[in-house]
Amino acid sequence: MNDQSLITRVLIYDDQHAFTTLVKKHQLPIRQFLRRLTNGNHALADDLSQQVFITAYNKLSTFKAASTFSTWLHSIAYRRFLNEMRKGQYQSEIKTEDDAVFQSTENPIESTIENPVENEILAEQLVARLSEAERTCITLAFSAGMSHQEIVTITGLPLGTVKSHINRSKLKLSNWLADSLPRSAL
Amino acid sequence: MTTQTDKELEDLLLYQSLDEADTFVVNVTTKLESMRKLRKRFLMISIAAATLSTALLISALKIPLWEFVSQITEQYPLGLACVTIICLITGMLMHSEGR
Repeated sequence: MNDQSLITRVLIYDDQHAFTTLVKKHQLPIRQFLRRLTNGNHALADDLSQQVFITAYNKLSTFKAASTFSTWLHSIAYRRFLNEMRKGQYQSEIKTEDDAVFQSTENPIESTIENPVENEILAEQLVARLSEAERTCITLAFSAGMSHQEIVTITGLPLGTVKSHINRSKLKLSNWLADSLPRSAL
Repeated sequence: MTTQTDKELEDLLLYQSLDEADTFVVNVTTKLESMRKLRKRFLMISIAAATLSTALLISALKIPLWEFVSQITEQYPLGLACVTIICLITGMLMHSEGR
């Protein structure tokens, strides 16, 4: 059953099973997206993800099929993350680019991209060095597989800015990746 | 930027599956269930309070209900219409929120 049919079932019949199916289907990209945005703060990311699905349930009648359900959920997730940032509750967790580079100089990353767990840790470490906007754009583009237009819809940034964030992030990540990994792993 | 680099980045940034997916789904459904119960309770309390206050008002007037309604209808038809519309809209909103 596709997303639209499930949404229709929730709206018309208040079908809880249909909504649970939607949560099961979309929890991974939303939770991973928020983990990347929160620099790997898994507890905060999961809390925010829960709020995203509860908001989605409450506002489901306002969902327009102009975008996909996944894009809509990512928009809610991104706004939740920005709200959390504004509250300043986890400001101390956000590493600046310089801090991260300093950390990496002291503790060089020696993971390989062969192990999925190590790969995830490495991805979180590298993405954490990017600015918030770069992190959002590169994660949506490369991890969530969103188009540039979908990223514009989610973030509200101009198309040119999204493209430049992605290009800059790609360049930075590939340089850091080259520095972090043993040559044999590449 | 080469395609090879893009591929490497895609492999690196690809989301890995999360073990505690079932727990997350259960947490979300439990929260939704408790939220729904709370709203229903609030709706019931609101209806009970409205019924009780109306009954008290009518009993305080010391006139039969039909007489009270006819007097209100005759004297304040516009006000009665407004109150009815507001009640209907509030009821519909509360029903959709309590879904």
